[in-house]
Order: sequence, then structure tokens, then C-alpha cells
Amino acid sequence: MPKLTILAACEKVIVDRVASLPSLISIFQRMNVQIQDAPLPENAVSPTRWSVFALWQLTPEERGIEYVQRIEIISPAGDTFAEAKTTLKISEVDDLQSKSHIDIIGIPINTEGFIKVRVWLEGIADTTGEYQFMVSHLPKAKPEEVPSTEEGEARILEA
Amino acid sequence: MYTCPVCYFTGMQDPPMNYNICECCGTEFGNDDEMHSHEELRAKWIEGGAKWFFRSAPIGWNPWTQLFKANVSMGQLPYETAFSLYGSPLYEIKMSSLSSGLLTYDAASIGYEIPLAEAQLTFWGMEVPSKDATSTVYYGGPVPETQIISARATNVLAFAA
Repeated sequence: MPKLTILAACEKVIVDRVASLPSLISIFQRMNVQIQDAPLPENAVSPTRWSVFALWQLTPEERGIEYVQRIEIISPAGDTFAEAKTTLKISEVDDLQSKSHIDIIGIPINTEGFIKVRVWLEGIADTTGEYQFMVSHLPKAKPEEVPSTEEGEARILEA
Repeated sequence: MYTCPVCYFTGMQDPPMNYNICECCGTEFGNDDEMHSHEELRAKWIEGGAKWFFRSAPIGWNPWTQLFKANVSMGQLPYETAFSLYGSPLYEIKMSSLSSGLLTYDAASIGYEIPLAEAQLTFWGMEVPSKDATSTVYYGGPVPETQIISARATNVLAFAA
């Protein structure tokens, strides 16, 4: 049975063109969202482009078998935000690892809590892996009180 | 499939002309866009909450994601957010020229290069539970299972050399 050895949500996955080696940039752990003005719409998302990276380790016996990888992004409210389906297959010439990444636009930010990334292979029990990261809301920053010119001068003179 | 030039829904069955109606934003092309530009119609749709027009929306449909995909800027939306990413503290131990044995040191000294005699690292484990706790580095052999039981799973690192 293939084993999920890496699952991560990150800002970007860069894949080397020559060697096909992936690099993960800024693995997500916590996202602080500052709400600027009006209350958020029910299904508000942050305009963030991000990626989910998965690496499976297979055995020689699993060469040539076609697996269907499913990825599901669950919002803190428990809704499915995005889904993806990828076919994995390693040939004789490949090594025994199968890697994939998907790019996603938007992070659901309406509710605070954990965003869950779930990955599994269709039809194979016990292959589910989960990665989660926190979305927190921060109160709107108060604009700093800027003293008027007269007030500022008076303070300087006092000092 | 065609893309609606107002809401950028990519699943229009018919081209956006000849009185065809976008099932997402409800724009009737050739009628609604006679007097108003697509930008104006989009702004009006967004102002109204960017709701799905005809019957029920496709599963997982999100108007804001649809707009972001079309590079509609945040400034045109009814909400504005600023976000930043944070991670847990990063601990790093540099190890070189290791010999067999056991070294215990304080977590505060993490980052300190451990000067040890020449030997080959075969396996090591590290426990970094908290700022004040004592961490233990094992080297020169397999990490004893019992020694890392108490470590927090998220902070345990074990690398094969």
C-alpha cells in the first residue's frame, strides 16, 4: 500500500525543470487575517494563491498500478472548499516515489479555525493523510492618533 | 463553454450575446449591457452580494474565488483583508564531526555548534519541548525509543544520516 510521506500546504511549490525536484516555500502553519472594513460575506476568501504538495512512497510491487489521489480542502466551518483528483502511476523507469502538487486560489477566511487538507487514494483504506493550518481573525488596527501641528509643537516644548 | 465577461463564470453554455443569460450573475447579453458596461454590471452584481442567479449554484462554487481567478482586484470587492503568515519557533542544531556518546544541553543554546570529535553520525534524535526544558541529542547509534516517548510529536525530529 502506498504510504503518504509528505503532505504540506504552502505558499508555493517550485519544481526544478531539469531534475524535477520540488521545493516548498513557506509551509503554512498559521494565517492571521485582519478584517479591514465591513463584515465579511458568508463565503469570503482571501485572494491567496497557495499549493498542496503530496509525496507517496511506493513499493516495487506497486509499479505500473494506477492510483487516483483525491485532495479535499475543508474550511473551518466544515464545508468542502475545493477538491482535486489526480492520477498517480509510476513506471519501471521511475523511482518509487510519486509526487504531485495542486495550486489553489483563495483561502476561506470567514470563520476562524483550522483549514484541513485531506489526501487519500481512492478505494484504498488507511491512506488518508491530513494537514491543517490555523486561520485567526485579528481586530481592525486602530489608526494611530496623530497630534495636530500645534499639539506636536507643544509636546516638544514640554519635553 | 464560454466565459461571462461580467462575473467571469466559465461555464456559460452559450456565448454572451443574442439575449443569452448568464446563469451565474443573470446578465442578459444584448439587453442588460446595452445601457451599462460590463464593469458597471459587475460592480452591481458584487454590491448585491455576488449571488448565484439561476437555480442552485454548482457545488463548491465561490464568487470571490471566481473573481480572483479572473484577476479582479481586492479593491473591487465589498471586503478587504490583510493577512500574514506565522509559524512556530524554529529550532536548529548544527552538528558536525560527531563521535559516539550522549550530550545533554539546554534548549536555550540551540543554534550552538556542538564541537565533538570526529566520527560518523548514523542516527540522531532531538527533543525540543519548550524554551526552558532540557533537550537531548543522541548520536553514534540509534535513538533509544524510550528516550523520545516523552517528546512532543510535533517537535521530534529524527533523521537518518
